[in-house]
Amino acid sequence: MHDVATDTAIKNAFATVSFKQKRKDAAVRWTMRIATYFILACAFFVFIDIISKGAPVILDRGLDFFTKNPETLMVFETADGTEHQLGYSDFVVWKDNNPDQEIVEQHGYTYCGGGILGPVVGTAFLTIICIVVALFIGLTSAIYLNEYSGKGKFMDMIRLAILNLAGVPSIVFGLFGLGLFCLAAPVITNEIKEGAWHIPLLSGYAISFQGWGTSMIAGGFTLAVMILPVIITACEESLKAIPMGFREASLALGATKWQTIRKAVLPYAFPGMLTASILGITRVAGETAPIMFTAAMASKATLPWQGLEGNVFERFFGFLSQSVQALPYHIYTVAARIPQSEYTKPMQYGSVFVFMVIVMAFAAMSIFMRIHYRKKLKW
Amino acid sequence: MSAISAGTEKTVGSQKTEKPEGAKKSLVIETNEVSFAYDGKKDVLKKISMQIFAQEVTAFIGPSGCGKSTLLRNFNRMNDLIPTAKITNGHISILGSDIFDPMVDVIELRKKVGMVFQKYNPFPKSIYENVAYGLRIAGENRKSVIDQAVEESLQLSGLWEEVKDRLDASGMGLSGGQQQRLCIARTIAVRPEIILMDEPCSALDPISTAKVEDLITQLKEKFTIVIVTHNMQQATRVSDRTAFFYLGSLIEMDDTTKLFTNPTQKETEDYISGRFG
Amino acid sequence: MATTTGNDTSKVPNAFKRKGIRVFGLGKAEFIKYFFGGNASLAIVVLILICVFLMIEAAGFLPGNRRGLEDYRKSGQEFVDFIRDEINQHTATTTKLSIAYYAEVNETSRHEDQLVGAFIQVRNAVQNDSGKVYEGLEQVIDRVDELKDDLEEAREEAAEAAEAASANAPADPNAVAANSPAAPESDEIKELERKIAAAEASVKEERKHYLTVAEALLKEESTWDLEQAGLHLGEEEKGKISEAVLFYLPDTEGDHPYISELKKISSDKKKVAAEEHADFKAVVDEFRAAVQPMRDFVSPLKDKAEENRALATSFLTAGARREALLASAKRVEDEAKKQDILAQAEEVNIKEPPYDKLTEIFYASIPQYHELSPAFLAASEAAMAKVPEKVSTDSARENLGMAKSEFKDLKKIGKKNDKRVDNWRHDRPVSMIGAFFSFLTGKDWVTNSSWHDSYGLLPLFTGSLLISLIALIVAIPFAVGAAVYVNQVAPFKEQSFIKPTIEFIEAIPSIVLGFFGILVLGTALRELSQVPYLSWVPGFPMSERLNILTAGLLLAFMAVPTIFTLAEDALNNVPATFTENSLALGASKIQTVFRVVVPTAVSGIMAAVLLGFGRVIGETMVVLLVAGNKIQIPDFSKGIGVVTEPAHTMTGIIAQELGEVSQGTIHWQALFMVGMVLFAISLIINFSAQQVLRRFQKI
Repeated sequence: MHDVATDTAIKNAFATVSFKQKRKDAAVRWTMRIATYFILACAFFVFIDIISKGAPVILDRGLDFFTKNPETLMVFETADGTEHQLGYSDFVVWKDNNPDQEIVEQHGYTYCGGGILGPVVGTAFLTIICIVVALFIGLTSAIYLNEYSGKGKFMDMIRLAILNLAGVPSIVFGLFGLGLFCLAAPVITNEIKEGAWHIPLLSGYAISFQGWGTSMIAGGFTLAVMILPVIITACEESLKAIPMGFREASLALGATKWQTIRKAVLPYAFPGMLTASILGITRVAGETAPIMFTAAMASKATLPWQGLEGNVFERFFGFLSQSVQALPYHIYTVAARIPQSEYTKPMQYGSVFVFMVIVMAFAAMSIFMRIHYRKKLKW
Repeated sequence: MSAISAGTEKTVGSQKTEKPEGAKKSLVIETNEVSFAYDGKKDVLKKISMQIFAQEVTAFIGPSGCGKSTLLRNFNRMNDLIPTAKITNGHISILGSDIFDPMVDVIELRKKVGMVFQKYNPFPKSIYENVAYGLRIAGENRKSVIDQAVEESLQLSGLWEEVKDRLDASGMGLSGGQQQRLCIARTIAVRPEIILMDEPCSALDPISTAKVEDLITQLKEKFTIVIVTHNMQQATRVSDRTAFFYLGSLIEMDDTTKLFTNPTQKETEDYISGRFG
Repeated sequence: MATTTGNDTSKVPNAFKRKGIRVFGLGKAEFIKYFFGGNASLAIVVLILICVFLMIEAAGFLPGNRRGLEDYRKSGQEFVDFIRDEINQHTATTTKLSIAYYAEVNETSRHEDQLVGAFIQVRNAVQNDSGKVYEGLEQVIDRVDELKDDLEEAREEAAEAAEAASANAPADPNAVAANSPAAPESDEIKELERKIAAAEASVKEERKHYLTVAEALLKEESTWDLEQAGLHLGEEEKGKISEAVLFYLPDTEGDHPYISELKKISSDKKKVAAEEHADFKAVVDEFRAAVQPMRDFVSPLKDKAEENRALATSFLTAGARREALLASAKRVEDEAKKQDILAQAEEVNIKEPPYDKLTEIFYASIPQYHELSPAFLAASEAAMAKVPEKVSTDSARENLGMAKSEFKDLKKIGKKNDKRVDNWRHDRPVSMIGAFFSFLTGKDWVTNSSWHDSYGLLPLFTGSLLISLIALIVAIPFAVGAAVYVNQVAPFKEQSFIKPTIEFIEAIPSIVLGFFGILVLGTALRELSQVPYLSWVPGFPMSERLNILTAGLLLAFMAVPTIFTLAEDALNNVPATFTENSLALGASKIQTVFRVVVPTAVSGIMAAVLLGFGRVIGETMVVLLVAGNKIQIPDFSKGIGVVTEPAHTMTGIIAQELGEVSQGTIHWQALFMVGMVLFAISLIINFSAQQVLRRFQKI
């Protein structure tokens, strides 16, 4: 027994000798770990702050918050000393219903009453237009880059252009969109703006390069151009993930290149493309700078599909060529362009909360899908 | 290269020219001093001339990097996928036509010259759709025709009994050997004249290999088969004629039994006796 | 390419002959290919279009700016600004001196001033926090006053009525006797008196209510959260302040004795201190007075220059105005009106103003300037020399130091002006390059000014750069540390949770972060900066809630995911054999990471940092919301403390101003110029990142 005890005291030949190094390693490891978790903690704090202040607003204002447009919030006090907060439309109704009540004090807070239906709808349409355009161009570009292209100066140029495009600040895209889509894009019209360069067509109509004005479609295209690099890269990645064997097998069976792409490549790249588009949505929905001058406006009484006239085409173009409210721009307006007070906070936090939930849901979806398919698709 | 690299029109039907009955030893593939370079400069195939005959299994053997797969992939112009690669000398004619003629539609060529790859690569579709793929892209839409072709091809490839009651299951759910035979079935469904096999058994276990080898010997009744293999025993088991490649050159080509028992070249002898490679 | 065409096959039709229609020698496959290729090259097209459209919109800027600068020169404004530079610099010096002086004087009474300040703060806090109660009290008191006014009025009316009545019936003394006591006591008045009594009762009640609420509030800790740094209130002082707070009601007149006492002590002390520092004051006044002759000298010159500029501006548009009038005259039917408009058109002066004549006054003033300026500088110098060396407070010391450096600058300007004034020529042309450089290096971005609009990029560029640098300095250690940790050290489980989370952070929209910055971070940082024992930190306490630091920190948070992801990629690309070799040699994991892996990936990490920089400098919404939007080159004399100054940025200015200017004006073009600069910067950053990466790939 004694022997065993003494034996264990003999050191293992490979036991730690340099405790100093160990301690140093541990210190470095923990420093990095703390840095990592500090980042996560910051994110957590932002989320908690917005959720804790935003969610109660939604609960408080209820469905109205999603079914009404932003309007002026009327804060007034009646003679009996009670304070009321009503959106302007409700305020008018209230006044009609209570003609005998004397209003002692009354303040208006623009954009702080009602809900955020208009901005949400506007953002949705902008995003849809953008994704449709960007996915079309992005996917075809990615197909070219991955399936057709060889090497060469031209390819290098395209790749360099895509890389550089990815780094251009969003506000510059805003300027570009303003210059190209709002002020110089071609339209077919019979009301040619003075000084606009145009090609005459039949019966007074012409293709006139007078721009689309501040409009949904201009904003959508601007955003599309902005996320093009993201979409191209993501689509290309999803095409690259398809094994070469599929293409070889298909070609060896006598399929044309296009048949091979359509039947043996694209169907399997679909999840990747879906992820790309959702990633695109995340980016686009959150952008404010590019739509500030190209599409967005702070207040608008009607929803995009309301108040359109004429035949189907006129309605369709009327729909596309109107400016819209957008959620991020709405937040910018209520957060920075109106005088701040305690009455503006519910609208601010409520909008930010809804906005963040939407964007983050898409982000989570794209991240989840990527991880999921990366795991699942191993051919 | 680019002008002829991609195919043109959707092909019309999958009409298969009937093989001349009983025309034993008819010339199917002929190469005439073919040199080939991947980068357009450095030849990896050096002036190869050979003849391959119908209803035979021809095996290409040689150490890795000797150019046997490269030559095989030239027979149905799979090397077109590499933009800089080109034939630098000579020409290849298949079924009497120069396949590098600018007039050639590679799609038509590949319908006649099928290929089975080293790594079995069924599409992530059902077994049925895998086999039907070639017919569908050739514009065949009649279900009865496709049904029949699928059954025939699967039977030919010996897979029918194993999968007939689960044709809708994914092709990727089969075992490795079955997947490779599925790929063979997929290839023969378009009724090629020639089937090129690029080390079809290298990714398979011995039992599956034996099945595929059996299949090859059966298939040679209907198709001309060119097989690249690392495995000399396999070459002796399945092939009628064998070509030995070394460093991009064709060293010797002869009847399999003759080549293995009585090689004329020293390199061949060294290789088959296992002194290198 | 096939080198041989068939020899024997040329006669026999090729078995694999192409079928199908070809248009312009292109088959369907080629069409498809070129269609895809065309879309891919859109990336290039877009880049070119961005250049083109930024240029189109910015096109007129250089000529316009040149024109503006020339007008500025021709009108003599430039000349005036030379001298005004001197005066302004003198004013800046005076301000610093004066701050130093008051710091000295106020030092003796600091305690009392702080107490008064604390009192005001607590009183406001109590009145605010009691919410409705105080307001209610205010209202009832107002109501009492109103009622009393009404009563007064009613009584006057009654008295008038009574007088009238007595005038009507003077003959009846009985009637007068009977009426006189009754007349003022009409029903209305009685009613009012009753109401007043009731209101006064409710005032009493409300007052009581308020006092209880206020007392309760005074007991709470949070009421006593004071902003005065370094002030600690004793129990006794607290008690007195509370008493004073309770003393103040809406109808209170005059000060509470304690407060008035404090105020008196303070002013007495100040009086004493002022006497003590009378010399200092004299010096400051002397210094201030030195500039007066210069002001008197420049004032008429300035008026003249302004007048000249108005002529120049009017001349600039004269042609167009005349054209417009003539055009409208053509459209008008009525002959009389037509003549009228034509006459107006004739009146438009389209002759260039006689600048030579208009600017004579400036040339003529040069000798006087040479007399005045040295005298002014000498007088200032003399006053400066008398400034006391020894001061008792830190603030005074600091401000004196600043005053001295400002004065040095003043002397420099004086020296420079000596030559500038002589060499000035109103008709010296401005070159295009000059116009361009005045944009790139101009220190002022002034728009809609009545004097001269200038478009100088420097304040915006400095702001953008400072904010980005702070963001990077903060972000790099966290992002790179996290990347190394996740990629090299963390167990798999931790990796698979941290990576998606950080990607998730990347998706937070910038407007949300900007909003968070305005509402939470800005306030929190400012409160933190006011903590007394952090006052050693440069720039603390911060005077502005929204400043460079706040924006920088938020942008750091935005840059972290970008840098993290790219750096992690770079680390991932380090071949595993490197690690294995190092481990096999007996290095510890951490040693391996820092001696082998990180050095190998360093250029990849550098590229990541560069791209992060690109993202940060191009970010718009956060800086627009949080940077403070003050168009001024931050005051670098504060040292590191400069980061607590508000600033404006290149991205922010576009977002803020473009919506409000009309298309085609020089302001609009200037904003597009800023856009071009941003575009160029982003290209340069991207390009260098790619160069760095290329080097990485060679390893």
